[in-house]
Amino acid sequence: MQKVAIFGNAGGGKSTLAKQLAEATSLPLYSLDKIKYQAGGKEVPHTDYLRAHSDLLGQEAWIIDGFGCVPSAWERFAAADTLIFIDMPLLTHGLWVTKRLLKGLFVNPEGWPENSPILKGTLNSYRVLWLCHTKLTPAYRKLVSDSTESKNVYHLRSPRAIKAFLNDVRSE
Amino acid sequence: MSLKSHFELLATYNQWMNGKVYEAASRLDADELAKDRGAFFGSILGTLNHIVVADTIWLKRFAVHPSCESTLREVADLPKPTSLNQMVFNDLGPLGAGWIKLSSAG
Repeated sequence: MQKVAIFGNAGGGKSTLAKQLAEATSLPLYSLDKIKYQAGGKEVPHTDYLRAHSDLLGQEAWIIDGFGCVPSAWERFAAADTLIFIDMPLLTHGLWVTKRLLKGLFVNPEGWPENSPILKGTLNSYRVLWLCHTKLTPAYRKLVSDSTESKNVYHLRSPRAIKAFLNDVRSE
Repeated sequence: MSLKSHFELLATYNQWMNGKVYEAASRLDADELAKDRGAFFGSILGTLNHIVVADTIWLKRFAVHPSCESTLREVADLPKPTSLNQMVFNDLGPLGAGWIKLSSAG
């Protein structure tokens, strides 16, 4: 496990898992939101993002948490040796997004740039939630089922599965 | 502005616009992308495949020029497209990754 892509719908605990995995493995952690958005929530030019992302993939080891865009996501999946797909029921993802909104009023959410507009981010998350559920999740499921022979694939479908996966990594 | 910087600007513009097209296309599901819309290359996926095919053909031509031999090495190694309507990839994700590979070449 040297190049790890963590992906899945919003509010699935990707950033939290990524942080815990980085601590357990000592691999360097990168949050795409921090590459894609400057402090204050302004998006960097798309071509700059693509270049920074490609450069990052060229490094020897990484854990990358987030999406970016379809082309860069699939570029990352091709470069990764480990795919971690968090795929819980839509309602669970939705509840976690709501929980993050409430918590985020007091603490900056994990993996989010400083001073991000939390409410705007959450409303965007609800929109992303549905878009991802209908368009990306089916493509992710196909990706992980097609990749089982060429990569380490972890298709985590519940908070319990996430916990068990982390315990396995820690005990290795 | 030098001739070279003109082409660099156009290349950046091309990458920016392609990025926007992929962004918009990723809001459609697989059936919508593959649906025949009467375009010259049929579907949206067919059209995006054609852009990748055409870019590959052009870059492979540039790649044989002595000044590009090292910078376009990866492109030179790509298989030569068999036709202008070849479906190189049947899904948007891998197609997008293929597009990034081409657009970041050199």
